[in-house]
Amino acid sequence: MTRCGFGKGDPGKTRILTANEKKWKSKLEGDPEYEIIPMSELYPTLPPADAYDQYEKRCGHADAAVWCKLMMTHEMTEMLRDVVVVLHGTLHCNSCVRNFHSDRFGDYGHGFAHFPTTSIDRRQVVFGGEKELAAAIRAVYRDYKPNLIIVLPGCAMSLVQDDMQRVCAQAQAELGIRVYYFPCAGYEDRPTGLIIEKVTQMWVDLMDDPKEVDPEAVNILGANREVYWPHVRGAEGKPRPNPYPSDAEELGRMIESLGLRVHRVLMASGGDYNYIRTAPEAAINTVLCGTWAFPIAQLMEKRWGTKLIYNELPLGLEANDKFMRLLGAATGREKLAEEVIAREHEAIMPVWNKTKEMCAGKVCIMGGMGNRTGSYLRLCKDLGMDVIYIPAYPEMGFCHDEAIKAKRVDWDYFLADGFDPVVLRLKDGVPRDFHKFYLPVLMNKLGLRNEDLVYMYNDFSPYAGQIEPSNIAYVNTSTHLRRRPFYPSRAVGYRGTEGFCLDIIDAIKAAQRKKWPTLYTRIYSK
Amino acid sequence: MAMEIIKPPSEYGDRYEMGAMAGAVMAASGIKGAAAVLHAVQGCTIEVVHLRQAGPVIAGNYMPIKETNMGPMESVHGRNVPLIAQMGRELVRERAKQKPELVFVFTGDGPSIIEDDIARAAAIIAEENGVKAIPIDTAAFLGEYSRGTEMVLNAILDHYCKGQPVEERKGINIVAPHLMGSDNWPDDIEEIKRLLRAADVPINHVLFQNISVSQLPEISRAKRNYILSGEDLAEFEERCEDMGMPVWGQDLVLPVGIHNTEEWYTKLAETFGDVKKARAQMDEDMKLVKARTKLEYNASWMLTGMFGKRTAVLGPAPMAAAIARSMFFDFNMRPVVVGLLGLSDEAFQRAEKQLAEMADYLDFEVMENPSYYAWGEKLRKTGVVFAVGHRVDHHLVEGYGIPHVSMTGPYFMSHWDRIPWPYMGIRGSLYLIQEFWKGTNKAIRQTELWQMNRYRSQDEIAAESGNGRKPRAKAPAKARARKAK
Repeated sequence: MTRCGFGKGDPGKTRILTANEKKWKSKLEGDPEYEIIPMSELYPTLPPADAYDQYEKRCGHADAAVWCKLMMTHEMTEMLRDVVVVLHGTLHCNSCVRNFHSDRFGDYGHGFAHFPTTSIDRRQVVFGGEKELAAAIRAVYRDYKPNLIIVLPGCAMSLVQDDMQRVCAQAQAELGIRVYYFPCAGYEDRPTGLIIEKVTQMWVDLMDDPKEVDPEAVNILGANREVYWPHVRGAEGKPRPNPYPSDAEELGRMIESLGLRVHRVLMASGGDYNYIRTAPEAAINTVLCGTWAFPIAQLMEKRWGTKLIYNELPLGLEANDKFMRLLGAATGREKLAEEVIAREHEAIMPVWNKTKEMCAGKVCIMGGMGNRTGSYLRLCKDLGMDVIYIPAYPEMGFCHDEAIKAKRVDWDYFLADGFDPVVLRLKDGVPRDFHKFYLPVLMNKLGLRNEDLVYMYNDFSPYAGQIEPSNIAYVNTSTHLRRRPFYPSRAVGYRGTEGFCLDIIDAIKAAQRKKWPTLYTRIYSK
Repeated sequence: MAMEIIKPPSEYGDRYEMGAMAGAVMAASGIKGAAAVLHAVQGCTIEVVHLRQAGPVIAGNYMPIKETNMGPMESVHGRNVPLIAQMGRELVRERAKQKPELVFVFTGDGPSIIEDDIARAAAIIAEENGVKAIPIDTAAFLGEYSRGTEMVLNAILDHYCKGQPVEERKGINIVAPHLMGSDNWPDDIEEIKRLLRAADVPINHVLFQNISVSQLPEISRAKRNYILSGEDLAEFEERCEDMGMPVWGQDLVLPVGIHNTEEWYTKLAETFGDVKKARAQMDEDMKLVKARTKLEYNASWMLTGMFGKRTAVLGPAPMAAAIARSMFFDFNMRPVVVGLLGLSDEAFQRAEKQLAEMADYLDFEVMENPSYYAWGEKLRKTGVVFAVGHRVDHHLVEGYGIPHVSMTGPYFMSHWDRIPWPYMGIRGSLYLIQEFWKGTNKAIRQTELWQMNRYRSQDEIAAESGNGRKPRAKAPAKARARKAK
């Protein structure tokens, strides 16, 4: 057993509902559409995420327009700096990737991703496009001189079954650099979590066997889209140019506080091909975002025995303390870990206690998929709030019943760790409809008042004119839009927790105004 | 003095070029009462849906869309007619108060290859919901953004205009405003309409903007179709010829800046309206420009500060050419690299002919469909003060340390401008001053050095001398001993 941190969840034990949860359950008694049920009861009844037929029968056709497998795969490659990705597909696929994944992901600090594309048309769909792919790879090597070429397919060339694996093998022999093919056509999988679980394989494929393993070297996995400043090209000796540390930097600070060394931060931007291939030289893997990290960690554990600190996105005191203790225990630094925890508690306690006081009796209803939603909800629970998980992103306009199982790596963790939120969902057989998860609808159903709620939104709020920051505490949980100087945006670590608590305090104070609504509400109100 | 043309590599392309489904949705989004079912995988639909809810909304319409978001089951087994029909049903049900009158069914690559029967699906949607339904195969491998637009134009002519009696020809149709290549096209088309009306150039309809389904048959009564794209829309042109309303004006420069507007406006007024009125309107508009600039010290600073600055422009061919010309003729800048994006030889030839007017007075390079890498390297090696481009090449260009101003490409995400003002027309030159100055000023202001050279106290200097990072806590003795071994 090389994993540390299997938790306190007890699958045989029945979850006891809190007073509020019992009240909500009774309110929904006899409701033809909604039910409230602990995750631990729902989870075992859910089919695997790729049992599409069963989900169709259970809750209707998927309504999620989210990023496809190609886009998610490309997202991983963007964080490598000396790599060129060749797309065997249409310029349309290229441009779809650019809209979010190249343009807005620049917000995290990545360099621009080059994505030369074979630009296929109907000729290649009919006659195949292997020759064109081979020519493109050669030309890309000639023009870009990369250290690694990754080839990804679009839907069309995948469906007509061009043998891209063979073309890459031939190109690799000819060019003398690695030419790596990864199948990731958009149609192959639908739920995001499932896609991520599959595409993380790519990173492990790119790693080499370690020559030596450093027992004091620690990897941070799942630092999706982030930049780890100390490893950025040219960062040596310079402070970060802006006051927004990444979550990986906060986790790195905590790791270093135990006298350990941060070896690789994956997939944070800041590394070249050599950076990723030497990742197995660390003895320990830690986790930032579980969705991205757990599958990589599990594969690394299997291949190289890299020890996994089994801990999801540490938000809140409980999760961070656990992380420090597990890491301390795994490296023989238990005493030091306790000293660090005491020091961190001392720093954060005034803000933490004040937040607990202000959140007393409040409720958080949050939609999303797994890792971040679960972690934020767990933080709210840690602050003494009652929490409800909804299997939908009403903000983004879709339900994702499959997402729970698609993010099984996260929910497995949370349940094993004893975090078991209640789920407010549509009953089996009721066709999915994200409108039914609109917060005002749910508040009505559950008899919640404005002052009962802390509303945590992601990219934007769809409730202008209905839920208003001068009435209800509005807290941003988006990784790229949330910026509080000196604190990481996903609220990771002790400092992240402190920053997030400060946001909650500010939001609750602003919501006490009860008058002078914002422009956003005025635009949408009648 | 010369204009050097650089061709792209033939083996690959790396540029912003959305596929036919995106173009089709953008065209359909201008029809009030239209709705669409997108039969494609989720990556295609999420992008197209975002495009639809940006520019077209500003231009006046929000088109309802339902997507099938097909996964592996649908892609492998096919037989998705019931699914498409179901989406059509839901689309109509959700819009019960304002029932769509026309439902398009658009496809992505997968359904096209597996040959889902979208004609049958559309027939079912029509029958079940009492609406007109038009299926169009808009796979990206069948064509790009402008081709998708053309597919919708063709379909509308076929379904609504064929055989329509034309008693009197009335004005011109303005075709495909979203293909101009301006990221401000919703405001630019308003300015174009305002100018044409002022010069007594009658406008029949804009294809498509603010046109209802019931008005679609009126399209065929136009005298001419003025296409705002540099691309040849061959099948559409053929149909227009057959209907007695040939296409017109694709060689005409877009009215970006003073010189281009004078050329454009005069030509349009001569052909369809009243030149005197056009001149009067230009004089009138110039009064506003003068009022905001004349004797105003900051404006003089900006306008002369831009003089001589070496710049670059990347964008769809007509827009990039027009901006480069305005930079040179109106602002005395030096657009030394112009990147033209296009699909057909004609699009490049038209733009290059317009750019050639600068060639007697300026050495510059024109890159046809440059890859982003080639573009970035060219800017780095050439040395430009700032570059105009799309939103998506913003962080490419700034990654080279060159300021970037986003003005071309489609109106999409990250278009933060809320002020309803055009780039085009005489009045639009006020906007150009502002945008070109943003680029110039950003180059002049050396913010990176400000950070390095700001005042630091003794404490701060001491902290920074430790690499800017807190010293690492000491490892326990046991671990240190182990490491030493």
